[in-house]
Amino acid sequence: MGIETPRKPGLLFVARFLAALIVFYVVSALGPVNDHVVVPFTELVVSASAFLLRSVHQPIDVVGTVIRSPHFALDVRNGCNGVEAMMVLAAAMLAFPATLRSRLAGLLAGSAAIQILNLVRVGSLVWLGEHHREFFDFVHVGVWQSIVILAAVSMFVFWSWKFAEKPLAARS
Amino acid sequence: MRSSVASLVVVTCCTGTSFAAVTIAGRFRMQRMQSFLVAAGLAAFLCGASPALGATAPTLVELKQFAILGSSTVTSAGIATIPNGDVGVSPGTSITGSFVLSPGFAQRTPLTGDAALLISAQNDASNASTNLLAQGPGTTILAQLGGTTRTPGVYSFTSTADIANNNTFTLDAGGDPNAVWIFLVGSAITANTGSNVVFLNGVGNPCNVFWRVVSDATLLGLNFPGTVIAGAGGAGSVTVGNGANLSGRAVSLTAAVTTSGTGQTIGGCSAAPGGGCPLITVNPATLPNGTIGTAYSQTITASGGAAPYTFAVSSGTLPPGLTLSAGGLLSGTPTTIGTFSFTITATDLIDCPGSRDYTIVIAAAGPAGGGPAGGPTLDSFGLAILLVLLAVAGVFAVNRFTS
Repeated sequence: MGIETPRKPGLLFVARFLAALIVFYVVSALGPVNDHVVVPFTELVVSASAFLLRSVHQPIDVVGTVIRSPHFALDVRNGCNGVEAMMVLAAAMLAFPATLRSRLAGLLAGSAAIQILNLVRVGSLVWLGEHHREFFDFVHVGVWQSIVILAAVSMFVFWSWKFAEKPLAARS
Repeated sequence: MRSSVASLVVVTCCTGTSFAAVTIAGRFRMQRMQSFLVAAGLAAFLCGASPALGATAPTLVELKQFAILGSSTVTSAGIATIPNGDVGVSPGTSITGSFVLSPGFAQRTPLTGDAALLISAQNDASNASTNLLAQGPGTTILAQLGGTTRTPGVYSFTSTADIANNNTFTLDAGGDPNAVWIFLVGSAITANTGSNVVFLNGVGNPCNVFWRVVSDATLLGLNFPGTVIAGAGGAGSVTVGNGANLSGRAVSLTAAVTTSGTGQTIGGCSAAPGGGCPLITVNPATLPNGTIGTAYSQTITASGGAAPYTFAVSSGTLPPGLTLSAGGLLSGTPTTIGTFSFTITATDLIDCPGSRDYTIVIAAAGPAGGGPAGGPTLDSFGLAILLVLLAVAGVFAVNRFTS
């Protein structure tokens, strides 16, 4: 992709952002994509989370997409795999005027960061469910959502200012 | 060895209990050896004084079908209810008074064509008496049983045994529904008016309690469990008082069995003639599934046999954390996820069994104790916030670079 000089750049960004989001959601909802990409990816997230927990000596058992500890189990469903957060961030990066290289770098770094964050999130939630179940809801809904949102927005702002800035500045 | 040495001597007593004696020995080997011997001796002494020796129920054979078996006569002064068992006499031929029998049971005398059966039953009673005596003397205890508690085992009385008026004698099965008690009474036994013999926590089978009485047994109390064999050492009769409940059987080897007053209930430990068992049904048909970490409680019941019933897991495994009481309460807090199949068998008063297979699925607990917790990275609200923030940030950034 090249670098654009739109007349109403803000509006165009929002339109592209929403369009990219729709495309991502439609594609991810397709049966074959869900079965052959999303589900295996979710299982990969489960395995990686279990590995993370075992590495800190937590007794973990994995059945399908369910991570079981002795007294608690967490089902890592489609919405729990960090894919939605990745898609939203990716849509924003794709909608933003930048070079192809900058976009690819942003997508890779942003997706990796979101996934690493999600692994820590899943692992911490299983640990909390096992040891301090009373804090599970608060940390799950309140703390980790805020962290993911802040992380995604921060990455986008950082990326758009540091990497997308140069081509735009050079062009203008 | 300059420092003190602790010698731990553990001796397993014949009753299955353990006694540990700890001695602190001195600096020298001889002192340690002496301490060891003292400790071992003390342990042996305490084991020897342990309250009970192992008791085994004798084989009753033909006697098993009788609730009352007299030698000379059997007499009911009023109306005696016999919930389960025959009423017989031999070699005497007289059964007088009113006995209310359960279907399938009968009054039997040598004149009713049951001579051979009755002779066998009397022989079995005599053999049972001999067997009980052979298991003794066990632990010798005081005559007065009122206010005391006895664990399963063999107990002897040098002379009489007595339960005072309105006193309670408790049999502590220690949770074992198959526990056996044998009491060897050197003379006569009297359970006085208002006295009561009970099982601690309701665990225990009256059919596993045996009283060998050398002379007379006079049972005037409210409840008295067991098979009473009187006249084991000479003339001895059994008298069951007004309104008394003898959960077992009354047998005299040499004299009469008599009910005084009225309203007695005698029996409950007798198999139907031929040894057949009724169909015992265990309920409920299915058990609800459980959740790990959440208290679980279900009551198992049985019907069709002679109450009370004793419940046990006869095969399979209960979910870890759950236990089944002898009374049929399945309870506890599951600790392990999985599917568990097991069979619960109910045994009635006369050892007739009935069983049912069960499967319980123990599910993982979510934060609210339901199924596995879901953990969406972002819920709808969080997703909306992220969308808005990214859109705003993007618009600002684009406008900044293009302005």
